[in-house]
Order: sequence, then structure tokens, then C-alpha cells
Amino acid sequence: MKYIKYKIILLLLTNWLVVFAQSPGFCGTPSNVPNFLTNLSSSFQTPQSSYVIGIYFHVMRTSAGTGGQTQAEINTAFNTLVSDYQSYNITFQLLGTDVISNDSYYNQTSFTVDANGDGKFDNFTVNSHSNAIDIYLFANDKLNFGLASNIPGTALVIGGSAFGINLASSHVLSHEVGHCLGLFHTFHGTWPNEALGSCPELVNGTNGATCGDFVADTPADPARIFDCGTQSTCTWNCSGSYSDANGQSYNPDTHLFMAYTFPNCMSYHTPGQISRMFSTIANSTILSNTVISCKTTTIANRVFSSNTSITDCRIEISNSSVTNNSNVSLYAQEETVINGTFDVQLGSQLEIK
Amino acid sequence: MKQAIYLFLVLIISLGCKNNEITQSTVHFGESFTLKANGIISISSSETNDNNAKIHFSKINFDSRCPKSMCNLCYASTASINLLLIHDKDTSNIPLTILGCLDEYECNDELYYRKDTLGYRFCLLRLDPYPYGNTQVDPTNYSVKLNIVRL
Repeated sequence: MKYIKYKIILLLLTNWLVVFAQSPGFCGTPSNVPNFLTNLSSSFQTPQSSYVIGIYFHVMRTSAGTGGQTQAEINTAFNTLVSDYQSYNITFQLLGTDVISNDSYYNQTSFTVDANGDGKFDNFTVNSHSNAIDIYLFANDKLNFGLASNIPGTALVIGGSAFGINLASSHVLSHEVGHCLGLFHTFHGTWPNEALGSCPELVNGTNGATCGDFVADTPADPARIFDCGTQSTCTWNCSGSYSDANGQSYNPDTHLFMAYTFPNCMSYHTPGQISRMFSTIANSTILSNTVISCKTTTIANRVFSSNTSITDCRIEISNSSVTNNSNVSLYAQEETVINGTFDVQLGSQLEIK
Repeated sequence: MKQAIYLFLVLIISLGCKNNEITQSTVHFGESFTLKANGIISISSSETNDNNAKIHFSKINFDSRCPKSMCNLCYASTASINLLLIHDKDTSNIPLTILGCLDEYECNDELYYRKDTLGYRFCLLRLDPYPYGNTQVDPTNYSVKLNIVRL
């Protein structure tokens, strides 16, 4: 009988340990992400005026090499990301694209966020690079979410669809990159499940820098846009329905990349968010490793007779021409300098960004 | 004797733990209510007491909502359930979706994943339990909070 008693006690203890081990926070998954910048003291590094960040695209396909995002969708993803950030003087340089043909990875849905501080997912590091943000593009019928590895972090997964939009090639990619570069959701601290590590931001903005998303110029957000906002017009329809601790009604910005808003509505970061990203890049070792130092591409006496795209920090070009109905695109992070002459023949095109 | 008592206690506890999934009661259109997995509820108009419609929470299709511990890094993620609408002798399958990383939604014109069909509006407001970590929820342990109105 004593033996049976011990067995029952052991069984109960084992069950308790299993439940405890599976509870959040025990197995290495952080239960919240601390405000990275508040942990810095006198060691704060002043940001540069612009950054070029290296990225790698990893395209997930089946073991047979089928499925996954098309080349057109991958191109759209890159162009959307570059376009969303270029006006903030943050440019992304695509260091490479690989295809990961593996059924197991193709169907993976569970990712353990970064707890060891290397910036990558702890259970998913296939083909990862320490000098870049690894962007894993899953098929448009997988995941149905975007997930960053950490704040800050250097990996993200994105795939599937939501609100009728292919997430991987949408502004949601810029949302996830925002996490990697140090940004929280605009409702951080307000929604109870995200309150850890923060506190509710007040509508009057008096605690905006220390609560919520730690960015003062983003309005307090109750995270209700998916049932109080209109996707087609990006309008907020619940004025008066939700209020903060002072009784003031929330009026969230439905256009911010970092809000829980519809992908088609995402269109900008605030100056405060941009400043926070620059500070994070300058002070995070894992992000500093992804920064590509400014280089200059110099081109002289060249005739462009086919479609050409040149991306670099600075571009200096002299005495050149575009012929044969070709399109030439120059993407310079800092500046493009044209010396002497640059002829563009009728039917050809020169684009400078 | 003691062994018999232990066995009896274990039997009682295990019977007590077994889910009694089928619940039968009545709610009115427009009232939010909770239904356990495999549960059935009658739904009627408060004016006419017409209680021919029944709702059966028949199935969880999938639950890939981001675990709450990761929601500060996650966008979207969804779960999907199936309801059966039983009206007179007709049965209709109603799939409903809910977004992850928020606890509960409002049933109004703007709820993205509401479903307006067969003269009714179906709103899946809440799905419990919310997944934690990488543990799978036993399908029989789910419950839904619904709101159904006549259009």
C-alpha cells in the first residue's frame, strides 16, 4: 500500500513538473521583451544619419522544390520593404537569396523566439547569417502570421495571408522588420497580455515615453482596429467606445506600420519611431553587425544598353548614357552625383532614388 | 479494503473529470453566450420564442494563434472553428475564424471575421483556452463565445 501511495505522489509531482516546465517563461522563451534602450547608460552610441542594413531572403519550398512564394512576389516583398524605409534613410541591401527545399521546414509552424541573444530564432537557424537580417518567406498558405525573433532581432518568418492579403509581400514585412529594429506594437502596455515590461499609455500622452511602446508621438492604442476599423478606408469607428484610465477616448492611428491595423493601411513610422530605430541600430551589437558601411560606386564613360539597377551608399557617375530602350535605376542611400554629361536616348529611362 | 476504497475514489474522480460536452439550453439572438466543444444550444427571438434554430460547436479546424508569450513579436495568426446551424430539418456548416493575440472581439459591423449568411450574423468573439508555448490544446477542451443576430 505504501508503494502505491508513493507512486501516486510521484505521479502528481511529475504532472506538476510537466505543467510547470510548459508554462511560459520556463523553457527559455522570454515572457516579455525588455525595453532595450533603457538598459543603456553612459555607453549610448550616437546614431549615424543613415544606415544600410544587409538582408538575406530565404524562400521556403517543399523537398521537391515546389510551392512557396513566386519570384514576382519575392521582388514585390523587397521593393515594398525598400520603399517603406527609404524616406527614413534606412536602406536594405539584399546580400543574397536562397531556396530552402525541405518539407519539414516548409511545414514548420512553431518558432522559439531568441532567448540566447544571438538575434535568431532559437529553434530555427537554417542558413542564417550573423551579418544580416534573415527573412524567411513562407508559402502564401502557410503560417498566416509574421513573427520577429526579438526586439531587437535579426530574423523573421512571414507567410500565409490575412485580410485577403499575401503577408510576405505586404507592409507586414515592414512591421516585422520594425520589431527587429527596436519597435514595439503601438498598443504595447495597453492590452493586458502585453503589459509585462510596460504600462498603459494615456491618451493625453503624458507618459508616452515611459509606457506603451516607449515612443511619445504614437497615439495611445487600445488594439481594437480589427473590430473597430474599416479596411477599405482605414478609418477608426469607435470614438467614445474605448477609454483610458482618465476616461479619455482612444483615437489610434490606423496607418502606423506597428499598429494592429490592416496591411493595406500601414504606411508610415512616426519621427519618434524612426529615432528609436536609429538609436537601436547604433547600440545593438547584433544589429550593428548587419550594418553595411558606406561605399561609393563610381561609373565613368559607360553606355547602358540593357536594363540595369545599381544600389549603393553613394553613386558617382560621369559621361555616360542610356540607349536601346533600356531602363537604368540608381538607388543611392546617401547621394547620387552626376558629373559631366548623362544622355538618355528617346525610349530609354533613368530613375534616381 | 483500502485498495477497494482507493479504486472507488479513482473511479469517481475520473468520471467527474470526463467532459460533459453536450449542453442544452436556450439563448436569445443578440446575446453573447459560451458553448463548449461539441455543445448544442437553442437560439430564439426574445419576441416570438421561435426556438427552431440550434447551434452545434462541431469542430476546431485549426488553431495556429501565436502563443501569448510571443504576441509582442507577432502579427495576425488565426484559429478556425466549425458551427452547425440546425434549422427545422436543414443543417448548414458555418466556418468561423478568429485572429490571435487579442482576447476578445466585439460583434459589430466592423468585425473583420464576422460572417453574414442565411439571414444571420455570426460573430466568433472568443476562443478558449488560448494556446501557451508549443503545447497543443485538447480539442474537447475548447469553448467559444459567440454572438448571433438575425439580419
